[in-house]
Order: sequence, then structure tokens, then C-alpha cells
Amino acid sequence: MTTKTFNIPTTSLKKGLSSIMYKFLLFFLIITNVNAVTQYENELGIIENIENAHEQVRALEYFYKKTFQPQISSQKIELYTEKQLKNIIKTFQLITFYAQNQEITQEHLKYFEVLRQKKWAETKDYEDVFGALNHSRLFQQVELFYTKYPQFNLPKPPVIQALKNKNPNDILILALDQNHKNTLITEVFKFSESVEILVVSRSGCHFSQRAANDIAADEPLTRFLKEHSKWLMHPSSRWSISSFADWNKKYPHFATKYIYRAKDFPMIKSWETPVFYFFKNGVIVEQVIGWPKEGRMQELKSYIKKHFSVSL
Amino acid sequence: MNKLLLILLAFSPLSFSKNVIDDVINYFDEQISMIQDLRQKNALIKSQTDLDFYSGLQDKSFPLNILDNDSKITFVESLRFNEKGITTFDYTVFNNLSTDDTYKVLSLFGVEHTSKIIHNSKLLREADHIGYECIRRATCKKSTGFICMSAC
Repeated sequence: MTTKTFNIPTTSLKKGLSSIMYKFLLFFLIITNVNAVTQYENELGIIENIENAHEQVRALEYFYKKTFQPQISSQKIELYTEKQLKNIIKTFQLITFYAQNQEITQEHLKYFEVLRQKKWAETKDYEDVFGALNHSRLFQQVELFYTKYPQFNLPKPPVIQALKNKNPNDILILALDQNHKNTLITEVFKFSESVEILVVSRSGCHFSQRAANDIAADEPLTRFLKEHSKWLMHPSSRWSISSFADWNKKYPHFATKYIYRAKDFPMIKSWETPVFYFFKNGVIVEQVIGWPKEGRMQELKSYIKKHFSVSL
Repeated sequence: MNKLLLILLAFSPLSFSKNVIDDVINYFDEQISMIQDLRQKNALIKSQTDLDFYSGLQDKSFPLNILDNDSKITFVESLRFNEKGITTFDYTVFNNLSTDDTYKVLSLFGVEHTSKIIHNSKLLREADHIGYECIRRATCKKSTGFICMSAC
């Protein structure tokens, strides 16, 4: 058997040659843009729909390494047209928005620099690169970028106090320095062996604020959570230290800290907020997801009773 | 043939000529073939290596996981690739899926256009590549339940 090529069956098209409908069909099919290729939109659309945040990042990194990077590096950056370069930057922006990957971010910066030198960069491009640098924790480059482009009113980067004697396996978090403005202190995070509650929230999240307000109005619950919970924020390319500081000032019992690297928390599959995770030895045993208008106090208290044997 | 000329001819009495119609249809077939090649070239899963990676994703929202476990194993094991992309696969795994879900799965490989054929018994009978498996380059062998793609 020789080659069989795939063709939409044409025998039916040949029938009714004199039909007006047939001529219209051909007309519309011929004039549609058969040569258009919107690169990467299909692949990235599929990957963006992956709900598990860690699998999504793995897929994006794989896509970058196997498809995107080989294709874009097949030509000298300087030879790309404005449209091509902007499409490349757009793809970088999507990848670095989700993935904390220093190698990819450095490449994003490289292509951005060419875009900028050719005077094709827009304000959003500067903001996206700045966000990507923050997100992937390239703090020295964040500082350089901020200093180099003051005209874009980028948020002032915080001073990061690094951790001395860091162990490569340490899970790091960033806490607000109470004594120095706009300063974050790097700390080591450890899971407790007994049950603890990890609250993933976000200072700018309305539902997280609602949860904190409802809980703050319940004194016994507040006292309990002050002892048995840790409030964490997911790393984001758009972090606001002032908003973070405001939250900690308003809710001192639920002072929150930034997760340094999302990959350190593989058991948290989705970074929606707020979510109350009940952990035992690093394993999730219960979760309270979201905080609607009516709240989730009963659910939260029932799990506290179940795992801590405490009635509130 | 010049695109504009084709459009004009489509509406002229000359369009009733068999030769003109054949030329138009051949042009149309070429364009479709080009689109299909581009789709496969830009597909998310283009090779065995890609398949090995993506078939490992467990997330329910990833299209490959629309298939139940057994169907997924059967489908993944049936897939063959060459440098152009997918060359053959077992289409019977889609018998219990809707056309929409079949479309989602096959879009991973850039061959989503076959979803309508798979779920249309009339088109399935007419299509000249159904019931064949790509066994080596440019060679399709009769094999029930398989599709031999143009990339073979």
C-alpha cells in the first residue's frame, strides 16, 4: 500500500457543480486566511488551562526548552522584525508570569533589551520584565533595572536581607522587617510535626481580607490561630510591599510572609486565596477553600475541633 | 492559479467548466494540506519525547486526561511520530467521547480536524486514510481502528 494522504473527501464537493451553494462554499473557503499562523497561542492556551500550578509550570518550562527556545535562537535577535520580537516578548511574558525560572527570565530580559534598544518597547514591557525579575528572585537585577529606568515609576524594590549559612534544601520565606521600612528578611520555613494551619492569602485579595476580618471579630478563634497558624503569600510578579505592610499592621495576629519559591510547596496545587490548609508533617489533611459572604467559620471550627480537639 | 482569478471564475459561467472546477478544488486541497502541516508543526505534542512528558501530567484539566485510564494507555501506546509530527493513532478510543472532547484531545497533536470524521460514520466510510496504520515512512498498512496521517 502506497502513501495515503489525508484529504477532506472531495467527491461530495464535486457533486452539484452547477449549484450556487457550492460556488459560495468555494468562495468563502478560498478567501479565508489559509496562510495565517498564530504561533504558540494554541500550545500556550492548553498549558494555561492546566489547573495544577506545579504541572502548569513544568509544562511551560518544557515548552520553553523543547519548542520556544530552539525556535527563537535559530535567528539572531537583531534580525527580528518589530512584530516578531513583540510576539516573542509576549510569549516570554506569559511564561515568566507563571514560572519562577531565573534562566528563562534572563532570556526574557535579553530579548527585552533588544526591543528597548530599537525603541519598540512600551511601558507594559518594562513593567513585565521588572515583574519577572522580582518573581524569579533576581533581586540584584531588580535593583539595577529600577535604577536604570526611573521614568516608569516602578515600585521601589525592597531591601532583602539574605540568610547567612543557607542550606540548599531550606524552604525560604520573606518576612517584613518591623524595624526597617521596605526591608524583607529571609527566614527558613519548617513544617511542624504536629498539626498546623497554613493560610494562603494575599493582601490585595478581597476574600482574604473578609476572612481576616471575620476571624478577628472572634476572639477565641483569633487567639487560637495566632498560636497555630502561619499566613503565607504566593510569590507574584506584582508584589506590593506597602500593601503587605498594611495587612500586617491591620492584622498583627495574622502577619503574613512571602513564599520565596512556589516549588518548595508541591503539595499546594493551586494558589487560589484564601485557603486554610491543615497540615500534619507536611501533608495536607484538611482544607477550607475560599471565604464567601457568609464565611466558613463553622467549617474552620469543626476542623479545628477534629484535629486539635479544641472547641471554639 | 491566481486567487483573485479563482474568485472571479467561481462566479462566472466558466465556473461550470469541469477543468476550472478541478483546478479550484486542487488549489483548495493544497491549501488545506498546508494548514494541516502547519497545525502539526505548531502542535504541543510533536514527538515521542513530548508525549512522554505530557502523558505524565495528572491534572484533570489537561486534555489527554479526558480519556479514562485504559483508553489513555491504549491511545498513548498507539501513537507514532516522525519529524513532521503524528503519523498514526488508534481512533477507536474516542468512540465513547463526544466530538468536542475528541477535538480537545486531538488538538494536542494538531490533528483536531479528524475529530469530525471519527464521529461521522458517513465521513468515516469515505475517508481514505481510516483503517490504515503508518508502519514506516510513506507506507500505510491496513489496520482496523487506526488512522494513517499525511505526515506518514
